[in-house]
Amino acid sequence: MSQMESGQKMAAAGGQLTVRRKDKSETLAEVCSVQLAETLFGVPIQHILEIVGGARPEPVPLAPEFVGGLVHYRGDVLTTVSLRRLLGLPEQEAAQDILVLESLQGCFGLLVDAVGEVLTVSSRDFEQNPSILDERRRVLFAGAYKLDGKLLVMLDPERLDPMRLGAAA
Amino acid sequence: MDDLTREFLIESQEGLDRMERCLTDLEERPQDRELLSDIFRSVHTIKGTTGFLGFKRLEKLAHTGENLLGLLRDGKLVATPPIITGLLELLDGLRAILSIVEETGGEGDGEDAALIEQLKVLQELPGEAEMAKPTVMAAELARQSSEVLPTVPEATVAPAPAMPSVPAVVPTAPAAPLAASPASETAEVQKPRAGATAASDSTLRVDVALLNRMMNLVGELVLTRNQILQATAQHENLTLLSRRLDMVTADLRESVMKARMQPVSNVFSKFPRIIRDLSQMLHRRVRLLMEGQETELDKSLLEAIKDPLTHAVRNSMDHGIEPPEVRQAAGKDPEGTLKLRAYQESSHVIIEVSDDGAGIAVEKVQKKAIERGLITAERAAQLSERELLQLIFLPGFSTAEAVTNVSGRGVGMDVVRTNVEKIGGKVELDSKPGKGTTLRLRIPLTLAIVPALIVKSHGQSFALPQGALSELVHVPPERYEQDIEWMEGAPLYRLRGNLLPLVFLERMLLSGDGDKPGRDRDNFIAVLEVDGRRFGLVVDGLADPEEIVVKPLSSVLKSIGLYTGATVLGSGDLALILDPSSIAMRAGVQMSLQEEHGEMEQNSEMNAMRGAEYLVVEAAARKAAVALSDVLRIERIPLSRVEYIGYRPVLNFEGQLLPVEDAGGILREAAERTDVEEQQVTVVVCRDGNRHVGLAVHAVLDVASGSQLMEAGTERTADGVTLLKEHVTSVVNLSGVEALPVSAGYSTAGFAEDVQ
Repeated sequence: MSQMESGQKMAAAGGQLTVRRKDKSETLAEVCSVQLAETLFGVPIQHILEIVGGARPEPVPLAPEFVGGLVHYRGDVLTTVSLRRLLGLPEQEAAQDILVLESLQGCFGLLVDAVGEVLTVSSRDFEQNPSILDERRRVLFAGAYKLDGKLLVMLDPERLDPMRLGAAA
Repeated sequence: MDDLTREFLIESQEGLDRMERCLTDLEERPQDRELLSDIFRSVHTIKGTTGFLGFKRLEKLAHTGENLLGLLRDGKLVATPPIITGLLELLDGLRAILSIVEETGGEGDGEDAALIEQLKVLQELPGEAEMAKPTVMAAELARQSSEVLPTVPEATVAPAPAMPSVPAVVPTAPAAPLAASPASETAEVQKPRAGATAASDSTLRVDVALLNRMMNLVGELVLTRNQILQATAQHENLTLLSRRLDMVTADLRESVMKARMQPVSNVFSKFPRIIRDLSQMLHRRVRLLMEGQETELDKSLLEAIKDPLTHAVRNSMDHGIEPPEVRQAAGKDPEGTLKLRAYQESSHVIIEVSDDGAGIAVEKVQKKAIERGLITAERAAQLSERELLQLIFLPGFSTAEAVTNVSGRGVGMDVVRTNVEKIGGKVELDSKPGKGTTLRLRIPLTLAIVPALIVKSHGQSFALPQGALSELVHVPPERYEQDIEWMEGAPLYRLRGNLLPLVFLERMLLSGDGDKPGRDRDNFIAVLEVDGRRFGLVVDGLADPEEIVVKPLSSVLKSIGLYTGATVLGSGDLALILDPSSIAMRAGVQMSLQEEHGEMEQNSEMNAMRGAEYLVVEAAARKAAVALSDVLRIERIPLSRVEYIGYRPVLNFEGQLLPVEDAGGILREAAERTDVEEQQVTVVVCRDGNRHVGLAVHAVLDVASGSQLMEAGTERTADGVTLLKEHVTSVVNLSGVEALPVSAGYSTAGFAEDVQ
């Protein structure tokens, strides 16, 4: 699959509102940015149901490593996946933001330090995961957009689904 | 599958269920025209719709059945046992095809010729059927009914459009053909069927998923209410509003819960048929009595008890009720009685399956258990009769002499117990040799909201379902070394002389936390009993018991196995719900037959001796006790709120006057002190009969259980004192608090103001 096709496919998943076609070779997508440690991550906004701020998830003893805990979300108990833990970074003490994401099995939360602005990115700037990326990250990341002076690493909600992570673990 | 077919399937299944019920009733009252037309209608509806949907096989079968039923309904034939058997087979045949339709969308290409032939043969016996009507009355009725068809026979017309009272019009004659059959059974249905018809008109089919969602939302409302109640306790003007919210929420919760309730008759109704079949197969004569069919239970629970209940009934038929000859020899009625009874007892529904059969022979149980290696002979010799009875709940136990295809395959009572405990219920067994056996299933009313104790471990809250909890033991740090004994790394606690295996929650959850965890703090042992396993769960803190709303966990967390769900506490915090049985399994706690029952009896004796719980208060440097059941609340109020009528201190609580007893002189003392601004006093508000009284105290010390004291020599229970923590403490006599002067002319509140 060429880089171009992959980028288009990704953006095409969004509706009319989030994707505007300039010409045949370029599509634009809106991405919610998340700064974590040194890296700027991005999650396509069409997968985000809601952003819950200032959450302190309840830890679940004996749960798989990547589980960030439980939060109360609209009458249900939401399992969260901690991005820090997934990447093997130390836990943060302060309250964190949760991106409520939709997956095939229902909803789950992605626990991040803080949610940043929504960026509009072009498929022209998209590149696949580099081959030197370690195995763990290669599974989680879905390529990157080259922005001015930095990279926006894309996260694919499907790959972050606790069900899938649980099966892989 | 299109909607029309799906609708047809649901409708037909309901029709067939109704037909099944009616058929077993029909055996008892073969002349009952209401029943006959009901059955006819069910089959007729199926036939009509199948023709329309193009299910030829179903149509053909239903048509043959309809012909036979038509003859019955018109009184040209009488429903003899062979005919009823034939009709039951028709029912099974129709059901089989319907299930094929449900699975494949088509009706399969099975052959029903044999069944159709059989039904045709049954139609051709009017002569014989005529002979089966021995009395003039029956014949008369038949003639009469054929004349006035299709209206109800005159004799049966009741004043209202309500159902004629069925038994009144049924001649006793059919008893003769019935007695001739190898087995006879009676279903005593107490519910008037007229009610059922009316109900079906005023009910609505609702998707269970929708109801679940509603229940979930109501649960959410309950939690939000809890938080609001806590938050508004300080604001006076919000108190009224939040109280109303409280009431509305409680009502709403109850109604939604009711919507999920179904009468147990939905499960009971299949037993007449099961018993009919079993009694023929096993050559037993059994009369089935059913009671309390209108008792309601949550739909999911009703589904869950279907199998255990069937199992219990089969067991009663196979092992309980003896063959007629044996019964006769024992001087009993050759016809055995099997009784199904349902009733509600506070927040539980009790379902009893009792028979008047042989009962369980304790020696046989003992012998079998030793044979199967479930217990050693030495151990068995020590067990009491009651404990021996419990052996039948062990997996792999079966006392049937021969393996029959009804029961006796070594799966049995343990399955019943496991299934019932899975839904938070309990199973009890009573048996008297020669007299019969009673199995009691204790089922919680609903699963969605369960009472739980909130425990803490490592600063985190967990909910422990109350169902499994039998008692709590507090181990203060200074008693730790003595109370918790270690056997090569295995912690144990001596509970009334028996060793109780302990599981440290903290150690289990954090996996591997040195030895002797929690040495320097308070420990609480929650004594749990589940699946016949008994152990103590050690936690480092207890909070209040709460009614929790169970929220499901994602499958990743479910697979950990220790948690059954999560809940939101009144404080807004999340708490995981612990699953006692998987904790026991993970910790390797074995099934034990420790004198559970013996202990239980002991417990209740001790409770009776111990008497009630008391609130220990201190006033004027003396300790006094107030029965905890009388205490409504403890208030900390500014002294300025205490007002006086003459010399009598009173409190104005939301417009109601409360006399305050100031035996310790606390109010007086406080009033004399001028050095402190805004003094606070503690008032214990108690219930005394219908009135409320307040007690001014220095401090509330503790809650303790007191035991009664006997007067030396007379052995009479002493009044007014109790033994608390080995100290004799006087109990406050609430009725001794003087009543307020209330006269017709003044309102009490006005009076108080005047005096001021």
